[in-house]
Amino acid sequence: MQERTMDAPTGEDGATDHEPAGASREPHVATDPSAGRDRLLVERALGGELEAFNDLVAAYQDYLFALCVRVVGDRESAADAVQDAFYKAYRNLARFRGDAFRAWLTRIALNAATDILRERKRKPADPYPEWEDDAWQPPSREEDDPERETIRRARGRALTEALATINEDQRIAIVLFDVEGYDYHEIAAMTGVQLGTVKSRIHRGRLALRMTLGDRMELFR
Amino acid sequence: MAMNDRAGPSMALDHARHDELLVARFAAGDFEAAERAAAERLVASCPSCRELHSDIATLMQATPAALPVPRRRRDFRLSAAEADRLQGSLVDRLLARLAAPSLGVLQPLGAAAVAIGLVLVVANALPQSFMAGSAGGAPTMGAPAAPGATMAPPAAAPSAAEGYGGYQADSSTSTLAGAPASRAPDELTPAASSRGVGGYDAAGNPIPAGSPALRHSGEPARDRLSAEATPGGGGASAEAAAEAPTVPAWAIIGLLILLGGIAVLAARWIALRQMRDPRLH
Repeated sequence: MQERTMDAPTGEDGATDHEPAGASREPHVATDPSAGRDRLLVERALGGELEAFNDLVAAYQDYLFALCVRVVGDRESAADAVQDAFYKAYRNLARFRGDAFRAWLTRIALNAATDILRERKRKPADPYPEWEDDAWQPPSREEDDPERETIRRARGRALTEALATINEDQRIAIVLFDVEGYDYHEIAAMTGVQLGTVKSRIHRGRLALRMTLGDRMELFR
Repeated sequence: MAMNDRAGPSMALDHARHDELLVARFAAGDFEAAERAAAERLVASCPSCRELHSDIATLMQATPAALPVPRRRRDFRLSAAEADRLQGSLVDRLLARLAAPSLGVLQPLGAAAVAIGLVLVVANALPQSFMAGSAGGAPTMGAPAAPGATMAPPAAAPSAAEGYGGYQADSSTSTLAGAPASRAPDELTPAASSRGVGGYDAAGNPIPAGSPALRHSGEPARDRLSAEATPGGGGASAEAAAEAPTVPAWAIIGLLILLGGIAVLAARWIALRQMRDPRLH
């Protein structure tokens, strides 16, 4: 039985919606200098300039691909998700409102990635084919000494595998918060859930990660 | 639950009852002020909670750097052919445009147009049709009455009296009811002529029967009576058509605005339904 000290209103997972006493971060939109550029490119793309849309693709394809790989676990599926996201974005560009193009695109890509995960659940032949393969890791830098490089790779592999085992919603929340740096509000808007639910997913996801890592936590200490 | 190997069985049992989520939130700095004391107590008194706190903090710090950055192999920029294919047909493009959030103003605009159009139509067309209904009532009622007037003189008399104010039929003599159509005003009784509205001039003086003024004012009525008395009522419908009230211009404008508003609302509704993608928020 756990001690519960919270009596505040809760989200669907029982987490509070209150602002934390610590750990606040600036939202992306307020600090994103590319928002103005994106707006101009969207306007030009809406005017029929394919080049303008392709400038947006060029600006975000690396980011979206990395995000999708972390969510779905393999590059082929991630590439499909990113392709689908850009197709949807192009087709629905007129429906984009506001100035957070990056967040809008992220939401579309996450939806595409989630679709792939759902499809995979229906046909679980080879859930994460590439995670056994080191080839998708970035090449080591020359200045890294071999021992540090080995530890870095071991950490990456351990964390990637642990991420693959936790709940899909928790994984997305952790990737968005810890890796991509979005704040709770942005994640809530992107994933369409309550703020308390986002917090709960992140904290429970970290607990699950730690439990999954088990002895391999030593790699990070 | 995470078990601490270094802790004894009793300590592990105690830790199993501890709120690990609170410790995780405490490590992330995401806690209420009221929870601080409880979280600090757990971390200070329980080695497993302390280790958990440390591990969560370590994970938070390590995650962004530890995860490899995958490199893409494809370029996702769209070719002109892909762009053409994605844009779809002209109708698709039009619907996409209509479904744009920037055109959200179409809905209130359409609703306003419908409301204004409806008001204009109702305010201008309805009174006209009402008046037309009341004005056309006498001929409508009189037309069938005329051929059978001999059968129903009392019904014809008030009809004539109300509908053709210039002459008042003397129902006691059945002059009007039983008379042929050609027998009109000057064959009416002088009394009837003098009692009728048309038997007085503007100053209220009686006008003698057969005077040009009375005759002149009575001509339309006579014409009407002639038409009314025509068997078959063909003359009555021609009369009604001639007297049909013209639809006011404002009613037509209102109708156009109403139809335009409905068209705008329908187009926007169809566009939103067509372009709706629940996974695109």
